[in-house]
Amino acid sequence: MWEAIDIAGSGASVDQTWIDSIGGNVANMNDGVTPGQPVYQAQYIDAAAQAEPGDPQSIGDGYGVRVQSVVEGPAQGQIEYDPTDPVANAQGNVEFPVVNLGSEMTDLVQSQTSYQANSAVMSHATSAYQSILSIKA
Amino acid sequence: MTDATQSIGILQFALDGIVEQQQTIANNIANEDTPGYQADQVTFESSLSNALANGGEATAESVPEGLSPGANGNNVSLPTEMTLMQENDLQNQTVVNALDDQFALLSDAITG
Repeated sequence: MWEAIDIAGSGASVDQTWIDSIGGNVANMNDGVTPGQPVYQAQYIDAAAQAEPGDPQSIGDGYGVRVQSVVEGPAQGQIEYDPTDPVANAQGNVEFPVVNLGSEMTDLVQSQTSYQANSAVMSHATSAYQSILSIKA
Repeated sequence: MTDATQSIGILQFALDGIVEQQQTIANNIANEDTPGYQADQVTFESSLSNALANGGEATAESVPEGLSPGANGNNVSLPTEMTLMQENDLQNQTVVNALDDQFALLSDAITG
């Protein structure tokens, strides 16, 4: 019962995960490390349609959406020359994560719009269900 | 001449179709950004009017919307879905009001 609300909820929850990953990517984009040390890898959300509620195995159409996997960005960062950086190596190089701020911001706008749309579905569905519940003889 | 129970049956079928439509719209919006997702649409109106005119069984069926997909193979159009959702809301209210009226008629007839 209340399928439309569940479906919109699955969409909003994917959007939430998406927004979280964008926040992580932007917050860590300036985490410079000494070249050779592990560098922050950007996180991207891979979404898939689901056929059954809450079942991570169900692939197909009909009951909302879920996060299928988190795809990681390149493990190899971009090298920049900055000898004043305390983590710079002997050659004066620092390794930074590969994060494209422009595309992160675009994703942020897209995920917010999507979240709003899902939340609009929830309020519409709620009023529709309420009007059905008000039917009386 | 359609009697009250027949009208209620027809309205009930319409309400089922409307709820199914609403679920499909919600699913399209939830998959607005899912790569490769194709939007669906539930139609029952023409089948119902055909069944009312010529007799026979009315059915609700889900068909692809068939809009051209964007870069990631997804063809959900948010403006289209928002418009369909508003229409669906109004259809829902109309049918619910009509059902209420039918029940009020029946109730009046029973209690006198």
